[in-house]
Amino acid sequence: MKLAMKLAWRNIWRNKRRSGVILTAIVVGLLGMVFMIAIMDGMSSDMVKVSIENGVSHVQIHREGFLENMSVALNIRNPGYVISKIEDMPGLKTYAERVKVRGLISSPENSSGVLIWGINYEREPKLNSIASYKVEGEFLSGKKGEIFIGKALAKKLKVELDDKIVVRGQGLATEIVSAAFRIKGIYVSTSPEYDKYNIFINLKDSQNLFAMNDRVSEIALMADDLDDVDSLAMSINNEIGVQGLKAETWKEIIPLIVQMVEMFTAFNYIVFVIVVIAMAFGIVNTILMSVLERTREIGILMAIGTKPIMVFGMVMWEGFFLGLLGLVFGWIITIFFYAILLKTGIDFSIWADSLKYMGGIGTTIYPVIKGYNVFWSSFSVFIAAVLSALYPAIKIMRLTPVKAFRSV
Amino acid sequence: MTDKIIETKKLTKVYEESKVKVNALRGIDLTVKKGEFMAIAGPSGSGKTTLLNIIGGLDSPTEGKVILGGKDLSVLSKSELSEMRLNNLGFIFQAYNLIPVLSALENVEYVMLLQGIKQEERQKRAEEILKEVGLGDYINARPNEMSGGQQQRVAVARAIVSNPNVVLADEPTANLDSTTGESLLVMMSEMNKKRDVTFLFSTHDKMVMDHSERLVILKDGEITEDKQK
Ligand SMILES: Nc1ncnc2c1ncn2[C@@H]1O[C@H](COP(=O)(O)OP(=O)(O)OP(=O)(O)O)[C@@H](O)[C@H]1O
Ligand SMILES: [Mg+2]
Repeated sequence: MKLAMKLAWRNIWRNKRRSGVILTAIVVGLLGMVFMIAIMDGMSSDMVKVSIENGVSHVQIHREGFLENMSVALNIRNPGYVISKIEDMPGLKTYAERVKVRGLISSPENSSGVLIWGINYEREPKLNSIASYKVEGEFLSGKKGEIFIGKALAKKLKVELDDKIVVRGQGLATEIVSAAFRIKGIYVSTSPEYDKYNIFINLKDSQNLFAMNDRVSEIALMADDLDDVDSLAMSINNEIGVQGLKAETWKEIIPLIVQMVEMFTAFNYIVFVIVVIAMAFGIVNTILMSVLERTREIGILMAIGTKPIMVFGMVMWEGFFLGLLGLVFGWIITIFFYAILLKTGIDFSIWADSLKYMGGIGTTIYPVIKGYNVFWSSFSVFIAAVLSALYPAIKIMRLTPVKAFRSV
Repeated sequence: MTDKIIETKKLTKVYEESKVKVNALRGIDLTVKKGEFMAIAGPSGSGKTTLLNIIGGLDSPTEGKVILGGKDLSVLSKSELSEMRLNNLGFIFQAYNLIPVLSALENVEYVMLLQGIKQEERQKRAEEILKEVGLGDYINARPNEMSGGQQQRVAVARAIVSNPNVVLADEPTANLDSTTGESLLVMMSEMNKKRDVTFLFSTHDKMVMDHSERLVILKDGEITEDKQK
């Protein structure tokens, strides 16, 4: 065993060019695989992150059924009570109460279907990036009649800062209500689709407009950590479930994104399999060549008493060492690029149009190398190397010394 | 009868790989006694290599059998044959005998390693024998750092180091100039005397035939002459 290892180790250094070709194939394969998956994972976590930060939050509390049709009638009657129940829960970072009503916004020029957010101007920015997207004017300050809208919507309505627009929607008393607002600020988020659809007014104004008194549509929460989300939602449901209220996590609120992430991950496992096969086919010839070239030498090894199984072992060890070296070099280079790309990100702006449909993630994607990626990529590469030694090893093991001598 | 180290009985070998049948050996009966230093000569294609390969268990006869040290080779499995070669035989081939990635010392040690001899003993014996064949200064040289003659000396050292019953050498001097060849032969002859190892070689070389104590002439797969000197 030790002898086969020793011979194998020396054999891989004797033809440096050939081993170099194999190692390069392994390194390139590893690099490509790790980053392909890291980019997918980076996109996935961006998609989730952007959604969460654009208002989905970690957990939302609603009256049961609200998410299906966003009816004003399905509201939280006593938000103060709910808040007092959850305020001191462990794992809770922050919360904000909201009114959400589907409605219509109109300028003299045009009108557009929108989602009206009545928000607590102080609490909302703590769990929503919206205030940071401001490009003109100011964010809401709690004064009566303020509205904060997206640039794309402003364009469509042909309105500017300080212009007046009318917001209309279904009030709690089943009649259509409307009120005029003055544009306090304009924002540009990561997605123009989002900007066209979401408008923000002060919580108090929305409650007045839709005759909701102190009621709200939802209470959004952030947990201290993504891992705390499920347990937080569970303890909230234990507290308030009896009131017909329900805490739902981001996974339940944006199932499409969750599905997309799952699809990406499934795709990643397919990548592992494809790379193993492609790499094994790529390497097997080179290993086979290097073994067949040594046919005579192996014949001599057998003639002087080496058992075929040891010859087999020797070739397998060669595959093992090549795989191992490939991994070492491969990871050194991968980590080097990772360190750079973590800072710079990868610019995908040429595909900006397609990326727009992926939950509004930015055009610069930061690769994320996750544990499973490290494990399965390494494993795949290693298996590919060992697998591609298998055929040459079996072939040469079957040789008899006499055949070996005659073949040269 | 213990001094009969090799016995072949009606050995025939027919190669049928191509369309033409080749009768490489036609009924060879040969007995070699322990300690002999003998040569098999004959024209090219007469079956010398075939005979040595079959005696060494590297190839199997079409008919007949080889009895080596009292054991019938035909009943041994592939891995038993490896074991038998390891413990009873030494091989020297025409050229490229050595493992290129191992030094002279390691090449000589290799067989002992397979035999499971301990490191210290291995090293000691390998160094001694390399000095004996005049390569004391080349212990750590790789094969490609040595001349053809030096490489053949290492091959002899490797063949002899584990005290085999028989050393089989297929044209060991064919790639060497006559002076180098002769000194190799003298060395083998000394080994033969000193250690009582049987040497059986095939050759074209007049000089080798002159040095041998017994000469068997092969023609078309048959023994035509067998003279003791
Ligand atoms: N594997 C093989 N397949 C077919 N024919 C073979 C094979 N090995 C040897 N022969 C044939 O058998 C005959 C004897 O060959 P062998 O190599 O034993 O001769 P030799 O005496 O060693 O010749 P040389 O002096 O050229 O080495 C030759 O005719 C050769 O062509
Ligand atoms: Mg021959």
